[in-house]
Amino acid sequence: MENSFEENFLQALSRVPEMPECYENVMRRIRKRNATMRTLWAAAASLLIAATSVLYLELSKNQAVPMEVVEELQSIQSHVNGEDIHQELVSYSLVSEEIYK
Amino acid sequence: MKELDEITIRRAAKKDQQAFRQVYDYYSLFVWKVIFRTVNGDTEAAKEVVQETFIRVYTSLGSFGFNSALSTWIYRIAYNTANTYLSKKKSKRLVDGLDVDLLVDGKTKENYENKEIVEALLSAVSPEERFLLMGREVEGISFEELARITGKSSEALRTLMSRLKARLRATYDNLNQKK
Repeated sequence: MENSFEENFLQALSRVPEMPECYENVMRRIRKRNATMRTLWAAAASLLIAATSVLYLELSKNQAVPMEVVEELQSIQSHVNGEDIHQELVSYSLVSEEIYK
Repeated sequence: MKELDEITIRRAAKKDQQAFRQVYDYYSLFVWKVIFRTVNGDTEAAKEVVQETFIRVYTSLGSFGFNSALSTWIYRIAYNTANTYLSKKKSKRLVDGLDVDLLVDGKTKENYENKEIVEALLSAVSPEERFLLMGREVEGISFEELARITGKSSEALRTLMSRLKARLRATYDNLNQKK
């Protein structure tokens, strides 16, 4: 390739049409993408909250009360209703139960 | 290339739109020139790549660590964006944007069937090679900077460039002999 041709070839390559105005399009597309991202995040957050709520409700519906708590509640109920008075009299009496018979 | 001041770049990184406008105004023309040739003179493709490049610049400028010149960083984004675009589109080689009259000097006008020669020369050049040709020979980017942009070593790029020139020269000589 002759030098003059090489120079001309490169000069021709460097000659490009005037750059079209792109800035407004860039900003418009950025705003659009941001809005899309916000919508997606909001949708994802809503889904997460909904799923967590459903899971929590399901768990609290199926959860069994532990045996110790049941027993404790039953003893409180007996105490409040006075059902255990006889038992207590027996437990704390100084004389034998036989006396009452 | 003289770079934009650091304060403006840092403001743009914090999504200051006025500062970003300055970044755009400062670097977009260089990006346009290189990308226009990389996509083989396809104006619509070049517009798309430039826009996508600056969208990426806007969203990622916060992660720019000032380890290189901002122009190098932007060129790297432009190079990757163009590669992605071209691999998706398998762009047709075009020469519409080339000023073929410049290739003709008075003496040899008869010998060159200009457009044919230019087309033949460009058809021997891949988009990546066009990017390098534009970056190095037209915009004067150093091989070291080009290495940072393309992820290749500067030695490999030097070799690639000298082979590219030899290939262009051979293609040109071939065409001249046929005439």
